[in-house]
Amino acid sequence: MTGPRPAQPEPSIECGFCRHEYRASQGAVSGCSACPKGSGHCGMARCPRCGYDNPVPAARTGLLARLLARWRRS
Amino acid sequence: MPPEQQLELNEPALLGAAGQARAALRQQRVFLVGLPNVGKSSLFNALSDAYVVVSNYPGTTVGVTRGHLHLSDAEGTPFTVPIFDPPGMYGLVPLTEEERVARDALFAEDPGVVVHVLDTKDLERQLALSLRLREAGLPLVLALNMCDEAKARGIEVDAAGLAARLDVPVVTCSAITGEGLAELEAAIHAALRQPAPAPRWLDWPAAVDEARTALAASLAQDRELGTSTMPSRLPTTLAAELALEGDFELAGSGGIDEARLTAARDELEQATGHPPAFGSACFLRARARALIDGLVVKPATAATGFADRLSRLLITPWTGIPLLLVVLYLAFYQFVGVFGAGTVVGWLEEDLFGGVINPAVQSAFEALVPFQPLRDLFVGDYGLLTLGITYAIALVLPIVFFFFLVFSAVEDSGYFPRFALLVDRVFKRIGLNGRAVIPMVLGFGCDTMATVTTRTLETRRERVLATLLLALAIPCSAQLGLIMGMLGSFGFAVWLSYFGILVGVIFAVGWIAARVLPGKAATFHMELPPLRRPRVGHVLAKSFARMRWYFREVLPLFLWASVILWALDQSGGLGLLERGLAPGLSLIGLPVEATESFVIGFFRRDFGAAGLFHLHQQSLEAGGVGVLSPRQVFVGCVTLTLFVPCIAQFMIMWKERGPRAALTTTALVTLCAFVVGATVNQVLLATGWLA
Repeated sequence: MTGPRPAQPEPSIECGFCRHEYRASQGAVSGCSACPKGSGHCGMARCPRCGYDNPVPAARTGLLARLLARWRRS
Repeated sequence: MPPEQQLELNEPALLGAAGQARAALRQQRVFLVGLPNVGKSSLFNALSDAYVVVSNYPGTTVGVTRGHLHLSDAEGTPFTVPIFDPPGMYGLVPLTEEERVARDALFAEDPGVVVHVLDTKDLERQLALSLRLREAGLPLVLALNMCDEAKARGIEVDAAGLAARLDVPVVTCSAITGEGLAELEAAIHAALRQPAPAPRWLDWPAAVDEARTALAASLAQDRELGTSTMPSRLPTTLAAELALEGDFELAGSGGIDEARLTAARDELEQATGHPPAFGSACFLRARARALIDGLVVKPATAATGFADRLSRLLITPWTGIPLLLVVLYLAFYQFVGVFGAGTVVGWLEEDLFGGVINPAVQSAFEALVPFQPLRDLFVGDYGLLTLGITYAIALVLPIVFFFFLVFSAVEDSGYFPRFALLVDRVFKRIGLNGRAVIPMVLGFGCDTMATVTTRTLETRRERVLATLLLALAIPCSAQLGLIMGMLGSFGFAVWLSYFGILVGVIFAVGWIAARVLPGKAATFHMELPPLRRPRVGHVLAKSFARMRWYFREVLPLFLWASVILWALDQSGGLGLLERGLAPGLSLIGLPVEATESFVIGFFRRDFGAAGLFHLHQQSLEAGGVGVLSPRQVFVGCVTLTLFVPCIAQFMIMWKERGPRAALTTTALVTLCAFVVGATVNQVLLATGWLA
């Protein structure tokens, strides 16, 4: 067993294709090393279940989206 | 207590029968299993103490969380047992490394109790795993989690009835409210004291039974010989079932080679008429449905009923294709094409950049920079501002923004897996299955990443076919948006004709390629996630994330392309290129002015499309008379879409499929683009349409 549980867990990504939930670090997969755009610099994290590429929301855009969603609900 | 002292107390000789039972109880382990997103980790947090550790499973990067579950024995003496929270899994045949870790850990750690955590709101699709765990002979407790949410939706489950039918303890609980957790702990404790149950087999069809019995005998023989590396806790009959469903790795660890397993799978497929994995999924689902028949009461809400009905309509060809056209018309044509590329781009490009920003900057440069070539570098025909930044911000930015909004909304609704099922039947005719829709859909975002994604396809033949079709006929999002904008001004019929030609080319080339490349299409089945109304937060977050990364990548390329075109223009190279490409362009009826669009289109097809769009805008500003006629715009769009992939995609093809496949694909694609372009041009000239 190695290390304690992280204090702030990575936000999860819901796959747009199969709805599998995973973390961005689980989506950095084999294809990245072959991509000419540079490993891990495309802002996408591939779903480990179906292979669909999903965007990794930046912290600020995620916050903006949550605020807008809250505003819409209210 | 020091370890030595603990060891001493646990020595069987020093303990009575009751003491030995207590010691054995304390050495048990509790495993939580379940599908992803059923609240398994929340339940783990609610059951375990504050101190938890996350370890990578040996040989993997996948973490398994461990904590302590506090229980009391029959005398009320508290004790703890380790409780594990492995990653979620959909079944016992793993598709991902996480699922493999969860499955392997389950059988390697020999748990005293397996708590199968289920989302009470949707039991049918999860109970297949319960049935499999029962077949494994694991001591099972079912935790029907999220009972509070189920109650709020008016869903009632007869847990006692389910327990009686399954013959395992079933507890309704909520990790969030704490309801039922004490009962769950009691059920775990009781199960820990029971001996492990025997595997309970389902009434599988005779063909499956025969196939698994033959394989199981071989697996058992290897286990006896000691050559098997399969987990000892895994029954050989179940291992044979999983192997038949496609777990080649498990079969290999049990001593069954790939050729033998493939032959057994083919034989079973012939006997049952469908692939083993699909057959098992249907069988288990039917048994799960029968299991809860009469035990679950769900209110027939209008919303659920509508979503279910719509879902069925979307995957049925007769209704699915018209609905697809409705989505294309409203979302992509009207919103992205007419509003985004028409209204918003018109305002940005003509009014803001063309009327205010560019003239002001051009005046400033004329006043401040006397050297003409340097002035041209910034504000000339191919200037960094007048071409690179104007294209990026005034043309591409609004179009891709609206496109990403629509794309993310459609994606969030759960439409794409239904689209995959819809086209599965047609794709099979060209040697591909519905799974190939994933890279195809991704190709509308970025063909390069989509080409990488073709790795997920099962056979080499499918990978080569999908790579070819991606390179040929799938425009990336920015290019698609720009083309939607250009063609939007000619009406929906023209817009639809463009897609019709692309679809026709995909199937014609795919049909021919499928006959040239030997092999059969792999099977495809998938579980459909529920259809839902797109969530604003999700759509915005995804759209902004896509925009952010797109512009981080594309803006420098646009600027570099401007510099290259400026350098070619200054050196006379552009004229040479125009003369060189003139015969090819005249073949498809395009003027030499379209040369630059095709040249830069090799670097990025969206930049090439922006070039065509700009020429078209100039024609419109000149009252419809000018550089490109509607026919030429249409032919240019078709040819550019089918033209050679961008340089990044060419490189990824080289890496993924090898130099020969990359060069052959590029040559085929170029040839096909000009042949189709010339044909479309001749047809339009002959019919007089879009004259």
